[in-house]
Amino acid sequence: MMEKSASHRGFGFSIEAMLAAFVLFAILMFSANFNVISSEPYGISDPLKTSSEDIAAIGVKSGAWSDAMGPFSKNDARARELFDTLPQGICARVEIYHDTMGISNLSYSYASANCSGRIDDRRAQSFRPFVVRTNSSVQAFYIAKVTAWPRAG
Amino acid sequence: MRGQVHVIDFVVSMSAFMLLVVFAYSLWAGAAQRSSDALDSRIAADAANRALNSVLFSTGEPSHWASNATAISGVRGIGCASSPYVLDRAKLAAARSFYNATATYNATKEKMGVGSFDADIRVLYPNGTAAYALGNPPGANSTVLASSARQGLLDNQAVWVRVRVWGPAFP
Repeated sequence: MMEKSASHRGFGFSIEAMLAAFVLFAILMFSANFNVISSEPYGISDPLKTSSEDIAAIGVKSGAWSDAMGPFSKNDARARELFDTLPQGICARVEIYHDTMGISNLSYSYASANCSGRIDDRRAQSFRPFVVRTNSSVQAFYIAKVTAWPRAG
Repeated sequence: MRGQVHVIDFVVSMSAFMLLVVFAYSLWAGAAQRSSDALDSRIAADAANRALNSVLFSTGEPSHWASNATAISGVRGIGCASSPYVLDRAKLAAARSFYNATATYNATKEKMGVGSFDADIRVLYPNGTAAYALGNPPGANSTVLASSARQGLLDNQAVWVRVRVWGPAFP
């Protein structure tokens, strides 16, 4: 009886030590991984969001949206040129809304080639307001809405 | 007999414990290496993003740094934009001359946020030809740790700005 209990005591201690080592190991592993996970790089890392931001901003800056006073279709060539620079695998669509007294009406839309079908559930959108002026007086307020999504296939 | 049982017991438990320690250590070493690699990639991605931001979104410090850029010491920060997304040819040319000169390479990449990494920066037309090339491409033995690209405007034309960062220079 004495022998049995002594034997169990010895083995029991080893199991406890092993369990403690495992717990310590798990804690160290978790903290190491947590440090890596929590150190996200700053900046935009989502290519869909980056593309929608860039297209919307560049469209405003280059005048691709705002040049087109009256019928926006005059600027299809500029829009096409802009959309041609998209990375492979990304589709985008721009919609220009004419903002009148807080009510937005769709004035113009353009989608990149072979992308006019369904918009994927995974998508990013960016909005850029701009004004179109004539003779230095504010003529109209517009909003460019750019949606980017992954190209099917 | 009782002593013998204790010795066998001790040897078996000690062996099991040692095996477990070796196993745990190998797991730990693998996990630590993976974590270290992931962290290195993220530090490199930060450097690439900083360089990209300095080219595409920053005017530099002072903002007219390129107009009398005779020495890198007088420039606190290098930026190549006249406004966000709009690239300035004079600033790009000045940055290129500093970046591509051996004597000013390190100081220039420091002022562009690349730090102690090596990097090449390209302003590319949509057809892939380079309008501006800053730095040599990575060598055959270098591993690119991070690459970032965004769109901008050069002379009112859409272009790509691409930054590639490679090691092994960690701070």
